[in-house]
Amino acid sequence: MPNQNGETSVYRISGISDTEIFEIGKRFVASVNDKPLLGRTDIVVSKVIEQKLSVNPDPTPHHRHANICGWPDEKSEKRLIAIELENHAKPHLIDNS
Amino acid sequence: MQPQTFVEERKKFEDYLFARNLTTVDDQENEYFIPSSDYVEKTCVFIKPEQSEDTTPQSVTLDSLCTVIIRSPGTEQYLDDLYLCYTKDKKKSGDNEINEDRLELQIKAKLVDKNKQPLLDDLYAVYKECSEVNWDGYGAQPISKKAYLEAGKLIRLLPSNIKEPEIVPEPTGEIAFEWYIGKRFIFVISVGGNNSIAYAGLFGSTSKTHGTEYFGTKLPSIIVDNIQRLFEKAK
Repeated sequence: MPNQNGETSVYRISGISDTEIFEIGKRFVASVNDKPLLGRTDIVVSKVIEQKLSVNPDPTPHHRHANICGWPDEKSEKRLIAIELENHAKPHLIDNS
Repeated sequence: MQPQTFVEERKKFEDYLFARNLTTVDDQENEYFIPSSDYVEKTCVFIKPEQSEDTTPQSVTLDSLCTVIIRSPGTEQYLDDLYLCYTKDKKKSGDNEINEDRLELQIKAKLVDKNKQPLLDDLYAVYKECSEVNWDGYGAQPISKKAYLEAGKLIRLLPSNIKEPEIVPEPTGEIAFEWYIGKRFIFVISVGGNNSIAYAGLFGSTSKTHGTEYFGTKLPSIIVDNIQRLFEKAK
């Protein structure tokens, strides 16, 4: 689901390794929020565009950072799109135990 | 006789109540104040520590020590410890004896299906974890007390034969409940404390739905229908 600005923060991960992806997560997500990194969820951009959303580059704090934009205003419609995306997403959980 | 129970902080008091399926409300317009046969109304009176034996209304803040006076002894067995406060005080006060000047915190309790307690515990854990601004690191709105109370009401109104959903905090400060059966079999509802439920569902490769319903004292039938539809479709 988008944040209050109507955006969902993502990182473009094409062409980089798992290690590099998790390094971005640790440096620019987990440590900034002082929380452990629990995992990530991958989704291909075409599935986002199918939902009439866009992926806009936003190179802060990292050049691979982007935002999913174009979410509808209506809450339940937004929710439906979110579960469509969830349906196409592939989670990768980290075993922190 | 057991000692009277005192709780030193508002937060601890709410924890104390929540463990007993009680919630506090401080908004007179909130629907939780609507009396119904399912609810038991009690009044919590905050008193000064040095005057703990005196239930005379005091000019106090919510941070003061408190005691609870139960005005509806119908829940004696269910609320054993609270009832002890009641018996100790010997205050069988009726509605007409309420002193309008005293600071009161009204509480409503509903006897709940014990099978729902784990879900209510999960809800409280989510509320505690996400009640600060920016709990997700992306500027998320805090889960409001109203959203939390409405989510608790939703849990209590869910039919007992329905499988437990997963509770998900939302960056908008809402609380979502998700039933995930498998790929393209998902139903999600969310509440934000404004008397409405937003819902969305995928029921296989072609069927989907979404909408918003008023959420008053009953769970809208379309919500229950869609949950059942999800499980039937997934068979």
